[in-house]
Amino acid sequence: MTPSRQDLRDLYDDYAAHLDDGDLDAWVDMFTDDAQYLVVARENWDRGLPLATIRCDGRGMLVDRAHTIRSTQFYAPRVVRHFVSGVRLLGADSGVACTANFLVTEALELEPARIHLTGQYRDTVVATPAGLRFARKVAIYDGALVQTSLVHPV
Amino acid sequence: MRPWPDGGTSRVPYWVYTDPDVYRREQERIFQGPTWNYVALAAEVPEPGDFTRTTVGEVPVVVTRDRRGELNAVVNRCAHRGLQFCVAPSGHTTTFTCPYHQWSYDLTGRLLGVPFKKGVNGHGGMPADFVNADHGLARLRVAERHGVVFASFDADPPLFEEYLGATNLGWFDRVFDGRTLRVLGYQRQRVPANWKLMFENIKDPYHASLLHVFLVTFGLFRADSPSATQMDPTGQHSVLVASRGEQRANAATAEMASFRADLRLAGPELLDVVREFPGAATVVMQTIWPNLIVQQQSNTLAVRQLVTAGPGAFELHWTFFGYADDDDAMVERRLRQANLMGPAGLVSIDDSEVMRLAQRGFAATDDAAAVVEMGGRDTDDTEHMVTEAAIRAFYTHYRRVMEL
Repeated sequence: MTPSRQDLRDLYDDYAAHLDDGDLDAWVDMFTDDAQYLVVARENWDRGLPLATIRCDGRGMLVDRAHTIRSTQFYAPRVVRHFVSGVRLLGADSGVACTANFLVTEALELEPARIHLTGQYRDTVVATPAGLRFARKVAIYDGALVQTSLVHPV
Repeated sequence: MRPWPDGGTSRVPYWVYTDPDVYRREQERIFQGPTWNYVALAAEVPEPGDFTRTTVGEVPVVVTRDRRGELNAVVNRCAHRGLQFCVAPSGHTTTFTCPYHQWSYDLTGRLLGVPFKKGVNGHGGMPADFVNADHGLARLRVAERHGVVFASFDADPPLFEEYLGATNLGWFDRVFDGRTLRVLGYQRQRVPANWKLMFENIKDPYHASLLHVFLVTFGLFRADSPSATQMDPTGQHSVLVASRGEQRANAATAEMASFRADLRLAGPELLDVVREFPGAATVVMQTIWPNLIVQQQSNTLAVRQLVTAGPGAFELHWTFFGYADDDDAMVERRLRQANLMGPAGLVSIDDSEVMRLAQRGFAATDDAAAVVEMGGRDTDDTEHMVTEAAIRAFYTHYRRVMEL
């Protein structure tokens, strides 16, 4: 069954909210067990180069990414916010192909927030008994340069 | 220039990271001086006509492979009005044409054509003594070693192999063993810190056992592992070498607050490492003066190119690679292990964050100095990680070049 536009909108809004709230367990749960999650520089994507800046093949690697962010990495405190717009449903084959734009802001310590990343999601969404889940999520960011570091998922 | 504080290179004054005059001298004497700057991998320009853009210090450069198959490096600045004429990051062409007045150049930088050179309807045109040959693009000297391309602004730079020295050349050839390289992709970041802090980070095995929970816990680089720090005779290049340790508590890990005996990976395929190089070393991090870090950590290989952006910022351009003969499983392994590195690296995030904080810490009080005494005050090679000798060796060379 093809999800409605409203279902998809809710899915992306939930996704953004989990990341903004720092609820990384809930973020992991938005993927299927064998999902692939990639954050990729547009230059790699456009040239067909396979390297991602973040690559998680399956739930285990998503869980590890969430855990390292929470407990092993050193980084200065920051607040991030994800804005997702232009959700488009491109077709249903094995899952539903969707695209959407993202804009991520980051506010470091006492500094004003600034735009950290912009880009496009190219996702595959599937219906599961627990609701809609991402079977694949590719976040392609526009500019090649990341400002200092990319701590949180996109 | 301010005087260097007492204590030799066991003290590094913070003004070397902040002073605009120091930075200007670095551009002249180091990046545009008698050095070999990393500019590209030959695999990025495999065919005649291929080009890729890069940067030396702050100078935009284009690396090309000309009709004869030779490598060239030219400044990306039109000889007419100074435009950065090449806007594509990479590509294939027979000539470069500046968009402004359409002066055109071949892939070696030779000026081919100047529109309206002889005027229009008898009007205007270049003076009779204008000779194309006098107005080519500025060229750099080029050296290639096993698929890695370096360039120099110096008219008579040393032979690359002599420049690197026997010890560091040996480690370089371990990863660049003559096999054709395959570029897997790029990661790039801009860090608000002085470029030297990035070099020092890779010359500082002391921090790795303390800052990096991930390295320490999984034994990827830890002070109780067999290791060595080796410099070339000048101190300008160095290499940190280590073998992987176990995730088991011992007397040394007791002093490492970041050691987590109970940490387990839910996705252990991240560290599905296979041995692929001869010898016991599992991590070899090499710094090649003045702008290259060669990374071999387990199966993740990359060249990290330093690009300066004023005293208070640098860019780090990571080119991840493997070999043309890698099988699919090895490619996948390299791509997964790349999670350790780069701007989102499970390990490297720690470094970009501390460098940013270092620059913030000393920017306003740059008459103070860093204390660099771990392992003594000398600059000798060591067989352990509890040392800052490679940083002292770096500054010994730096002071000589900079006359500081």
